Amino acid sequence: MSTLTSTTHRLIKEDQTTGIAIHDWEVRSHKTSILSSKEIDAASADLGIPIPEMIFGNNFLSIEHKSGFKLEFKALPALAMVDQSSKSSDLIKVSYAREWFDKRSMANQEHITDVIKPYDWTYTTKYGGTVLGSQFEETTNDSIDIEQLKKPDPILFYDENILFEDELADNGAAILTTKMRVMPSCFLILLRFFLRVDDVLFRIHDTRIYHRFGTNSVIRECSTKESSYRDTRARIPRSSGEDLSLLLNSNWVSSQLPEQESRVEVARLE
Amino acid sequence: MVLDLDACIDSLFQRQLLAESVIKEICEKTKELLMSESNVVHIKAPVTVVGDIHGQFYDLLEIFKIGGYCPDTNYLFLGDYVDRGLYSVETMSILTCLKLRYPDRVQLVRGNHESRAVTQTYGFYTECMKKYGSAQVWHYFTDLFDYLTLSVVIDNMIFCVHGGKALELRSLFDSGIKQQTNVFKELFADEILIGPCYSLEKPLGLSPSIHTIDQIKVMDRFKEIPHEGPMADLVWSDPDPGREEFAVSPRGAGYTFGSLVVEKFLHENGMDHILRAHQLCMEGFQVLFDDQLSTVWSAPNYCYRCGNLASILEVGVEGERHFNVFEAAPENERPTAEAQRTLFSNGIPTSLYGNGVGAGAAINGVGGNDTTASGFLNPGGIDSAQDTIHYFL
Repeated sequence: MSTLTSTTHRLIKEDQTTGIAIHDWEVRSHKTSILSSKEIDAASADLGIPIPEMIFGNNFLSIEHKSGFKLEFKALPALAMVDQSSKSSDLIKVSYAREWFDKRSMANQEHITDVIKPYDWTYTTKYGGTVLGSQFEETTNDSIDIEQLKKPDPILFYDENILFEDELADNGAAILTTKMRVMPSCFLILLRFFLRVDDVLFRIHDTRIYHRFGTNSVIRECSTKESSYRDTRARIPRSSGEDLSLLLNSNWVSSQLPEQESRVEVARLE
Repeated sequence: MVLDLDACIDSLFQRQLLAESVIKEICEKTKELLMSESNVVHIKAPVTVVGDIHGQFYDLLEIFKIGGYCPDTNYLFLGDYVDRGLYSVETMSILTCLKLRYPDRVQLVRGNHESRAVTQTYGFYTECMKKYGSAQVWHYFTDLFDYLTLSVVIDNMIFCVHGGKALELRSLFDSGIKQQTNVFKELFADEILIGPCYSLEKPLGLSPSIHTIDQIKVMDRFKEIPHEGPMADLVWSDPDPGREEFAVSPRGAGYTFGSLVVEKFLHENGMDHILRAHQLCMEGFQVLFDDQLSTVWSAPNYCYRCGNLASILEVGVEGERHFNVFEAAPENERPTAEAQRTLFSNGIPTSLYGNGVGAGAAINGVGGNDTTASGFLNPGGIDSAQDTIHYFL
């Protein structure tokens, strides 16, 4: 295993890009301004839904293997997967929807029956990255080596990149982020969709990408967690008092939510 | 002891916090002052309108540098003074002092972040605890929030609101300022009722038409609804460039509205422009609906990472509007990554980095000058077992 211990790597630092070249991989994280109004209009017309208020549409995290395999994480492809079916608006309503509806009847506004084109206003997306080259296929043989990742190996490259964020008209938060760490023996990416709908629910979709250098498999694990707002809020330690900022901390929320389902896939490098 | 406001303002400009007892006194006096203000304050141009600041105090100092200092320049602030940025306390302190010192030359409108619930999540509460060691200052300021006015009309021509849901019927009547009811009726009695308007992705909200009798009915009901009642208003909604009239929002409450609604609202109220803040935009300002509605955004490089421009809107005596665009303040101290973490998403308490090692360097990548011979991130004093940020799973 001498090739692994004598790792050579090169850090990439350009204007708005950081990254690392290691083994046969090149990692790039690009961070720039939010989209301009023109870009937002174009994206909105293209996707058919309103764009989140903080949209880093030109940011990306990408990993590319010399074999041609490439995986990229970007906001707009993620938003393209937001549900726009006719039922998509029925899944989650803001906490006071019922009361609003009742009041509306009393105010004789029922003549307004036009409902805007439905879309999942929580921006829930099962996006797992944009793949070029070898595709991912479901597997039961491979899994992420958690023990390997728990070792305090030196981190050669670490990065966090926010792709979009929205406060859901003061009804909570929807945030899509990537995190990556590269160690001498492996790397891990976490793409996280975090959703809080106040007084309704919490939801986390995690996509983890793991690769051990020297192997030909790239593992992708997707998991979903969900729980009611009330149950989660009740877990805030008493010592926090009135400080509710933990409800914006996806790491803390994640640790409080029961896991619901997960799926493992593998892509083979050629 | 007599309150010396000029001294308070000076020390805030010197970036020094006021004592807790001083903040208490200032908030109490300002509440008294605001109590006599209507829900719709009428002012005259010239005035400089400022949008969201969000605790970016150094950028607020830049605004005074660009737009002029009080009382030489009249200011109208459209809300969202706190949360997100690192200096909400300083921002609220100086704005409150200026309002108290120059009541007719400084107007403070309530934004959707001027609320207890929102500030408990988005940073202001945490910042008060950190800077004063208790929640008292947060209580003083959030009590003050309840008294802030909800809208301003410039020369009977330009209607100004924050654009978030702070402007909603319920808060109008919960605030206990009786006379507001009349002003409200007078201004909006006819077909269109303007209300809490909430929309992040789009401009200000309007509500479908309500007849006067029904309005009164609704108002009485709202008065009896307890504080924890939902934001269920009949009156908040999102503009929708894709249509002209009202439609029901996909969130299950509220409406979206189109250009015709804005036009109708302006026509029926004899005004020619709606001005709001609230919506982040890369350019720092936005003009929509055939120059009938504009947005002013005053937090450059929002959250220290959006890279956006900001603006203040200078309204002249002839009603002319000029957006004065600016960038993030050069001396704006970019917060360390760890400080950001505690205020923004995905945070972990800074206590993990009590020894001050590492997070910043690591976040910015290990490249550049930080590269050691091996190029490895040296965890140094960081206990990797505890370092859940970098060693995430």
